[in-house]
Amino acid sequence: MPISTVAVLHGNPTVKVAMDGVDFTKIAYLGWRPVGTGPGGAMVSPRTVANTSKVVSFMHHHKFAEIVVGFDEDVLATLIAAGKISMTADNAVFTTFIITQKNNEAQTRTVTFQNVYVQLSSDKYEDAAEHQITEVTFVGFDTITIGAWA
Amino acid sequence: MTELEKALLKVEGVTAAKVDVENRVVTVAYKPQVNHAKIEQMQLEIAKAVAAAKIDVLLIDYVKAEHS
Repeated sequence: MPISTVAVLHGNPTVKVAMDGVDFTKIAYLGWRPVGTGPGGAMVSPRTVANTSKVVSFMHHHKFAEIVVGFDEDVLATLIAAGKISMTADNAVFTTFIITQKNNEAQTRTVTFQNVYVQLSSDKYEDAAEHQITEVTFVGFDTITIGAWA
Repeated sequence: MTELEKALLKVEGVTAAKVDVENRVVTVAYKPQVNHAKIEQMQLEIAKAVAAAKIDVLLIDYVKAEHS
């Protein structure tokens, strides 16, 4: 699925991610988008009752922000050690999650998310330069603060 | 002056800061830097300060200071 804002800036230290104050500057690409932007959340799923597959209504889901980061390194060990990915319990939350983006006029801005969780870490790529890229998808369930381009 | 405004004024490159709680906007005047890396660092520090203040801000607006 396309994402709203994508920066493919392999090796560009401008694009960075600060997760609870820890800065990651080796970013191959990043992007984010709000998901489920209808009045009550555009995401729905069928709802059933008791032991039946008959759909009786639809369940509306929460809106959230999806953030996709291609780390130009393997960050899984870091995320697991911090409990942000836990195989035995809920993933720990990032209180503050800030990304720095860059536009085609060489301006930058920050976008701040709060209450962010690792949703999944599904893909690991090796690019043409034989760098390890680990893609992690995060979800944020709180307000978003956008900085102006400067 | 709010605590957030005081914190923002301590960030290198910031010359003035104003918090508009009603409109959920923080306006920052900054010195245009020749080295853009300093602006990036300034933006990141401002974003961290705004997040730490735990007020509901929608936009951080930047205006160039007239005299830098």
